[in-house]
Amino acid sequence: MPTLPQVLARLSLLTITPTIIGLVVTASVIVVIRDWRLSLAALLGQYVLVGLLLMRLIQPQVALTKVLIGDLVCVILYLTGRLVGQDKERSVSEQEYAGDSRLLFSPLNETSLADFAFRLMAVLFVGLVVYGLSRRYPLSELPSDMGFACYWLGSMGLLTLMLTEEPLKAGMGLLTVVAGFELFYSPLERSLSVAGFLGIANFLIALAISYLEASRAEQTPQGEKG
Amino acid sequence: MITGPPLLILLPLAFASVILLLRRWTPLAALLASATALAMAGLCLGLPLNRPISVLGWQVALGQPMMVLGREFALGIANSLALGFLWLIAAVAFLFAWRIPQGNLFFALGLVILSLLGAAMMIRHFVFAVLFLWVANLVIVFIVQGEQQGLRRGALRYLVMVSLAVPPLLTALWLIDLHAVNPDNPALLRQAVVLLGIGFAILLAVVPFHSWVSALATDAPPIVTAFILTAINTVVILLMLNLLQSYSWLSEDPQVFRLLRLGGASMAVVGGGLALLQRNFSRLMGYAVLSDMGCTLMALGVISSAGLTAAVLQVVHRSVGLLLAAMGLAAVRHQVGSDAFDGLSRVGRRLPIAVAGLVLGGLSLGGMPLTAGFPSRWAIYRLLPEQELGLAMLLSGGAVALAYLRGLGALLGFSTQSQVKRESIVASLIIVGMIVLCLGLGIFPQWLLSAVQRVAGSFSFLK
Repeated sequence: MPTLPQVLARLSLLTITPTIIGLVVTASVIVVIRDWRLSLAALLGQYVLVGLLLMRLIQPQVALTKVLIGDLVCVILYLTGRLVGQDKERSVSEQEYAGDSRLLFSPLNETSLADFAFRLMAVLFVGLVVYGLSRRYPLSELPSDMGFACYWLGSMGLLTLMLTEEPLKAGMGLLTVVAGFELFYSPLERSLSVAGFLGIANFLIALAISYLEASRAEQTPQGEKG
Repeated sequence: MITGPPLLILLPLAFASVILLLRRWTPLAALLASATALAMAGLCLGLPLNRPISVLGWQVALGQPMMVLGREFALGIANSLALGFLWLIAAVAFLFAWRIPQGNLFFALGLVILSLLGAAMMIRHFVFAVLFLWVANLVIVFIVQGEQQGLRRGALRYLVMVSLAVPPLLTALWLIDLHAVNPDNPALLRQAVVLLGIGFAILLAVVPFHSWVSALATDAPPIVTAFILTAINTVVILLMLNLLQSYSWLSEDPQVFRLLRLGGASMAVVGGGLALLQRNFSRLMGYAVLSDMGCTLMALGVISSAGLTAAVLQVVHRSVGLLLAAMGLAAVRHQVGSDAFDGLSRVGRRLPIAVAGLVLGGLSLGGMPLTAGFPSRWAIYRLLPEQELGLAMLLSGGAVALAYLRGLGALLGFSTQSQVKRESIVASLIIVGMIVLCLGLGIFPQWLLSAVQRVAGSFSFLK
């Protein structure tokens, strides 16, 4: 059975284009889809894809470490999301018991469809801007398609930050920006200490997001009761 | 022999871990944190940098550089004085937080933050200074939120803004390194200047990146706000001065200083204008600080050592005014539960010392005569080459002072509300001490001038 580094080494032999397409899709999913589970799965995929791209440019061990840190970040966010989600479900079921059954149903109503359409349009519009930017101001130290991926991740992360005030979702946006920056910066600054600092920063961002989301959730049931 | 850097970085971290365990016993945690901060301040301000000295049987060489993983840490005059000053501010803030709670995490994480900021100041490699600053800023998010229930948008906004400042700064530093290899490509330096401008503009809250200051002031406990704004602003300004000192092409470019003046003016105008519109002391404090930080940038933009001295003096005096205003606000908020003008009628009669501190601190932030904020503002006003900028600074300070006086009117107004509890004696004593310091620095600014001149004198790029 092949080990994880062997699997990743084989995957890194894939052509760049499918990996970049994967990054375009995952970052777009984080912007467009409001469900935190799907967004988190996209973030996890994003870390793996960034790691695969980085394997071509930096030491594979360092790229693998970045993937593992990304996985750890996703685990932290998943546990937070699940904990907070359970609290919310418990709060909703208490209210349903009290007779307010409207809260149990979350159909794909007109508002959520309009929200989805708006986010999709925003992604398409920003995507066009990113394409133009990456052609006009290419990142000279990287292959052009990887430069496009950096621009895409940075822009989609910023778009996510603009469209939400929820810590978990905003955190995914911020982590997407940081992932895009790492894709650009890691091949330029190969110091292991810098890589270590970036890992610590990713980890601390995840913890901070988790803390803020948990604090937000603490008040929600009280607010609903009031 | 112990060198300065590990002592100043590791010792607070060790105490922070102990205090974290003791965080439920607020008096113990507060006193231990305050004593640690005071000891660190004593080390930074009391020990000589140029020779080893015996402390409790250990030989300590504070100025001796140290190498960690090939990176040099060293404590210079400017760093040691700035760090000592920050530790002093922290010692007072921790002591005050004993009586007026600011969150149990404040004591331990406050030490961690200052330890990381100390590392950012001492490391000689800018990339790592930025990274240490980033990590410190990420830890700050936890004390902004504290144990408060419900999301504090100030915490989230702070997290996002300080993280967005890092990529442009690191990229700029890489471009500068690249230019050293390709000196024939001036475009690299132009791009680096733009990116440095964006990164520092976010960290210094230059308009339009200023929204995190008011959000922070609104959502964080007041003492935490004062602590963060003082510490981060000091370290970022020192980092900027170190960059100007290291790269002559940067310090010889007049456009850089013009941008500093314009950025500062925009902060002063927006801060003063928005301060006048506030009917809430927290947000008012945020905009008052923004206005004052703008004046500091204007002073840095004056290409002279006198301007640099005035800027450093203002950082010190602002910290005193800000901490005093924050103490008054914290005491009022603690007793009343609100800081909106409408809910504070008659509070002035029940909490006279807290209200005096709040208003005097605010007037100091506005640069009013006889307060700590006045001497540096006056010096900056006289140094500014453009009359319009001076006028903007005066109007901005006037607007801040007017806003605080309007708040005072609300505090002294008549109300039929139920009685407010009396002030805590310890907190009141600390506020009285800060009031004396604020007035003392306003009347005798020369008291700190020699230390300020030593800091300014350690940067030779303006000579």
